[in-house]
Amino acid sequence: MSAWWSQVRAEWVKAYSLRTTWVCLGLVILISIGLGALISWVSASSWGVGSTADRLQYDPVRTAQAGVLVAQFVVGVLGVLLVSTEYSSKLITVSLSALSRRRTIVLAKLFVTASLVVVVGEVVAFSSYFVSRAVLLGYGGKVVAHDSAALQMHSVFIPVLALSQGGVLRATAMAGVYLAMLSMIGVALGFLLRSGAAAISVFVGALLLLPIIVQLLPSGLGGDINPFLPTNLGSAMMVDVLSHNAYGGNFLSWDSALGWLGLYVVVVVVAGIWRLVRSDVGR
Amino acid sequence: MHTRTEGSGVSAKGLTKIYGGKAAVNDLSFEVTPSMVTGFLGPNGAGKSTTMRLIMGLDRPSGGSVLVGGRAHQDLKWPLREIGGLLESEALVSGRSARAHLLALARSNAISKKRVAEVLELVGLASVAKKRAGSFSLGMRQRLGLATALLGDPGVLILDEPFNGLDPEGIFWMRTLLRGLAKEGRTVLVSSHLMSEVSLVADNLVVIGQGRLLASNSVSGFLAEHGRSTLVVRSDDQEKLSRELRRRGAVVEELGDELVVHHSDGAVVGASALGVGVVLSELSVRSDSLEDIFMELTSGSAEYQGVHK
Repeated sequence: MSAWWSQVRAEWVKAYSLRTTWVCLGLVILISIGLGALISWVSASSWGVGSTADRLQYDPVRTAQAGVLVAQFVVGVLGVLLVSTEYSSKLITVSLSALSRRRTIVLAKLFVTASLVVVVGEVVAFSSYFVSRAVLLGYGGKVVAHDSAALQMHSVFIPVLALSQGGVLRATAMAGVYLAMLSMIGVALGFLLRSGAAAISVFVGALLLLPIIVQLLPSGLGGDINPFLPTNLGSAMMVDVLSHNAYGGNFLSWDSALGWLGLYVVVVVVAGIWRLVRSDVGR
Repeated sequence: MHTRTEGSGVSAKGLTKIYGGKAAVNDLSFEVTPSMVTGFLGPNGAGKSTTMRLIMGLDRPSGGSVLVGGRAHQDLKWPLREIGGLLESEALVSGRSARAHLLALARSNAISKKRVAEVLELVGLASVAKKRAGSFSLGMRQRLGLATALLGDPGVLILDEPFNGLDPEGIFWMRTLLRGLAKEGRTVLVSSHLMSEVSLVADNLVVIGQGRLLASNSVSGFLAEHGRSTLVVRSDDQEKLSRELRRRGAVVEELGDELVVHHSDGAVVGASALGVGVVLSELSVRSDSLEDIFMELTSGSAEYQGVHK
């Protein structure tokens, strides 16, 4: 058996034998499906009272994935904790003395964490889509044709987009992919910073504080940076074709957003591996 | 059980580790031989743990090398099967069961699930295997740490202060186990800051202080090389006898009604007594214990010392 595969099996045992893993994944399931359903219900039940502008802006696909806004923090924290518990408990010293290639330990942990999150994330994303679709249909929503003429119809009745329509399947699937990528950033930050508190602070800061700071910049510069913020890359991945047009220049195309977020993941992972390989551990 | 290759000991050559400009381990060379228990002694802060971390591949040497069975740690494909370590008995995630802890490590080195059950049985934790490791006492953690070290049935065992936290029964159990492991041909290195802990189990001793080697020898060689014996003498005229002994080159201390004689032996004392016509009422030999020698050897190198009164 290869050292890589045996390490993946080891990391799998570590992940499933920690209650944190199941608590976090359970939270992701509850929050994601629940929040998507809740916001869809609020939008649908108040459709008649809302302004025309609100109705025109309504994006049924992204609203279904509203839970991602919260779940992204949960999976990031999960990624961090899977690493930081090893450092705080000094288990890392045992893990490393059991392994000659340190890079493998980082990659195996990334692989296991991302696999868990992507499976749970996809189940959650499609559940959210169907639950929220059921809610909208229950309030008289109609499956609309996917063209710009339909946009005008939005003001008349609650739009429901089918998975077969432009980019809807991809937008929904990307919710799970986005969560998996953020969990990888969490794992890599854990290896880079070693302390759970520090890694979680940086993670939350990148997601919550960066947008605030960018807003303070002059609008030209801020507008240039804005699409490259991790949260906006995620949004760009999760909007369907029609809504993407509606958002104008705020989002990159979904595939370049995926590419950029992938680049961020690679950078943090390389930094995490660099710290683990280069330095003494656990003293 | 795999067969152990001859000479799969631990060999340090010029091993040096510098932390923040200070040498924790300084040009240290020693051999740890198979089939024996080697006691690794030194006061707190002498560099024992650092040396063990270097052996286990956790720290990179600043100079020199340390090899396990002729190979560096990073060249071992399945390290747990070659070298088992107990460096931090606290090294477990408290929410995880003992069994899951061991299973994860077993998986990492392609060791069977059956072996996990075996080592749990061996260290006496089989009945609590599914309990959270966080609920374990210090002694149970030491046992789990030992199970971790033994998991891959390695030829070399590196145990840092394994007696810590054990009750007298546990200490006896640990000694018996260590002796048994050495008898099976394994190389066993056991660190301690207390000579009394290892003197009953060790065949060889490596003593360090402030990162430097102070002595490396078998226990009997260590006693012969560093031990001194003194004579305790009583007679009917101590003054006359001590004058004669001093004339013959002995160093004599008068302690109450006893004479304590250094650098001499029984024959000289007997001859002196006969020469000056003194009747001996007691002549006994007091040898330095390993403990005494250890204290003497390391007295100059203890990092933190209290005031002796």
